Amino acid sequence: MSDISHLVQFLFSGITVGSVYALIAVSLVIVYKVSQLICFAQGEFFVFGALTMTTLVSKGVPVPLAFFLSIIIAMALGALIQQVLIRPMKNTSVGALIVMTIAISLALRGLALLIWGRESHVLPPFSRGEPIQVLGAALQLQILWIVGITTVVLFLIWFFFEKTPAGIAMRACAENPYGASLMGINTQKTTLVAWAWGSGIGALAGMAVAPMLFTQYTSGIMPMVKGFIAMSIGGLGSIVGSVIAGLLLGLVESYTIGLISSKFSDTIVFALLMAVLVFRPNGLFSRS
Amino acid sequence: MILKAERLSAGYARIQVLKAIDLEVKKGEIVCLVGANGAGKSTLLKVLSGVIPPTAGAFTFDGRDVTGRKPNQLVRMGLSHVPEGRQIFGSLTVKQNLFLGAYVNPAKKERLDDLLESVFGLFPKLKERLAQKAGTMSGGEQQMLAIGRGLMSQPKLLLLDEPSLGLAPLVVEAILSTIGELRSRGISILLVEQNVNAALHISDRAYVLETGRIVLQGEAKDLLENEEVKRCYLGM
Ligand SMILES: Nc1ncnc2c1ncn2[C@@H]1O[C@H](COP(=O)(O)OP(=O)(O)OP(=O)(O)O)[C@@H](O)[C@H]1O
Ligand SMILES: [Mg+2]
Repeated sequence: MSDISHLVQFLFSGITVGSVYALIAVSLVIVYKVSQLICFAQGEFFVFGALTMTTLVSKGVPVPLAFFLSIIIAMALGALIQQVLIRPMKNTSVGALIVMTIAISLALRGLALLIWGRESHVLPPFSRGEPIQVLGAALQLQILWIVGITTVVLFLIWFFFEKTPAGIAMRACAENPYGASLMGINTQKTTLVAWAWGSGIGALAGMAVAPMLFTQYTSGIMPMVKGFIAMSIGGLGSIVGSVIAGLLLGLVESYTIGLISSKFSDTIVFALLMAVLVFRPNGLFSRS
Repeated sequence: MILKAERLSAGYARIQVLKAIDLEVKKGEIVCLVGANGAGKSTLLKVLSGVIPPTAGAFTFDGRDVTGRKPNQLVRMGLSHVPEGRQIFGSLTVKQNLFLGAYVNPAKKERLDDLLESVFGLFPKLKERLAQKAGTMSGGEQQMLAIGRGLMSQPKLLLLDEPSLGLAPLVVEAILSTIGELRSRGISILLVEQNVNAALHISDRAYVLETGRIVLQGEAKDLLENEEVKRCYLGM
């Protein structure tokens, strides 16, 4: 392989990983906006999405159906968690709530261990076919799926929040729940919908990369951490910021692994986070 | 009768704020609620719009008992609350804010445009600012937006909490005269206002609230002559 083909190959893997981080970051942002809360269980939805779909496909369920079923299951799980575990705590401190989401994360991880065991599972790629050669680098078809899914999801999110009454109501709820309730917006229902969205998108991230990873019950931990970092770099509440930061993070990681050493990739990512937090505490893309 | 409250009590956690309030608003009336800071005026409006449940008593809206109903039910029935401090959505555009006012009555596009036009009839300034982020508007413009947004649900009764707070005298005058205009559109109004003199001049009747109790009520023009009202609220 030539130098160029190496660089292109790193670009592909950077975009792949970056898309996953971006999706997880967006799922975190959506929940954060309505609940002012980082849901640490988001990594588990990544795992549940990937493993539910893997199981369904291995049982012979057609891929498109398995895809939608897995998303719906994750969305229902997220809504259930909000309704049963988070909602009753609405008058407690944010600290207590964060501890709660960590507890939920551990419980879901335990549940995944019970259902799927310790083994790793691989999902067959969404479509069969040889990788495409681009400038001497191999572009796996699944990468096109990942990028395509991410693009579609981001477009839908943009459309939802900018153009639909429900999405605008959700933003109103996030900014000013009291004002929103006076408009007759049901803030509890809106919060529930946001959690369902967040969980579904987290699951989608796991499903999209499941053919490229060995997914097991602990596989959600690092994506969650990286998604959280992307969210912080992007400015906590900003969807656009998180997406850019997620992609950036994926690319930085990929080029560090490729050009320096895999030993340094996490070090560099965390150094980047610290630098952003020190010099741009409101995020890399904030105006203030 | 559009609104009738009987022996309404309410409060927060352990403090009782409102004590057995009796109050009525007739159709087409502007009723003014006067009281010192902390008397419980905003609390009363919150109870009437369903934000806080009353601890005792009951109230009817448009002839139906609506005690314990939630804001979304009350807005749908035609009771709109323009709260203290405006509570507009600063990160949304003026247009989005206005459309949220009509959120509970999803109307056809043309109907929404008609509603918008009728709001612009009262506040022409809003029309020029439709695409602007609401948070970047001036205080007066934000207050117009808050009232306009409250009108988008086509209310029969509008609860207005200190619409002139922090505004320049000329703007206050404009807002109060607009409130007078709302009555001619058939909207009944319960108004809380610090500019007691100006408020009483546009009102039909008024109630005086002191530490959670109604201590005085009557025709607005009579209260303007009342010695105690003059001393305590009109600074004469
Ligand atoms: N959310 C709350 N929690 C606890 N107490 C509250 C709350 N809101 C208001 N109070 C208390 O209830 C009492 C009445 O407050 P309210 O806001 O109704 O007064 P107000 O007449 O509207 O006063 P102002 O003219 O200053 O707006 C006050 O003593 C206030 O401290
Ligand atoms: Mg008040």
